[in-house]
Amino acid sequence: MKWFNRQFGEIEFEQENVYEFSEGLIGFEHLKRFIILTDPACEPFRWLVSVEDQDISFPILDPNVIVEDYRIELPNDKTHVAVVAALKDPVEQSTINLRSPILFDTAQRTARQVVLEHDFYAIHHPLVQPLELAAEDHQC
Amino acid sequence: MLILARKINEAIQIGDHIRVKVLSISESQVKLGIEAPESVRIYRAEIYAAIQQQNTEAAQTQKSTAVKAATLLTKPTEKSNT
Repeated sequence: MKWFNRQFGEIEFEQENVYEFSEGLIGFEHLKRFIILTDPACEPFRWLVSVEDQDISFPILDPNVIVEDYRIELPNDKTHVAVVAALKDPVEQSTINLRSPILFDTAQRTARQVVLEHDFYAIHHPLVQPLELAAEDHQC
Repeated sequence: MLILARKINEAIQIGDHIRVKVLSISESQVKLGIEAPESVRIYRAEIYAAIQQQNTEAAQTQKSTAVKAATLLTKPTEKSNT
């Protein structure tokens, strides 16, 4: 199947690669069908691309890239976890949402954005810690 | 906005399937019990708003910004293991 996205242009995808979000994403409840797009230039980010609205794509990320030992309860071993990233320029203003990860059931091809009950993980967790940035500055 | 006064153990019924009951009241906090079908998602309003805001900002991310962020994350760091 073919799809046109505003940022990525024409995309070809297989029907079986579509993830069905029966509840949509929070604030985007009307959009139910997404594919995951990998762009080598953006890795470790990947893109959750709507195949219903050509303007909509979300950067997503394996939370373990940012926090050590991100631990949540998974319904089964076919479940993959990703978190939504709001990326900004300058990069230090970027945040990732550790409180409401997306759970992808890779067997059923369904997905949902859950909200963790406890507040151990933040909704606006900084992508880079101020300390790391300070270290970057000193390298040059 | 519809405003209803309720006492402890009294409830309000919303449509056919949702019932909200007042369980306890203290000076600054009300405890509510909510019965609703599983398909109805229930959030604390400020959490919902914050996630909605985060998702909206994520949807506005430009590919060029993601490339920049990715470069910063994957740049080899000078962390040592000692």
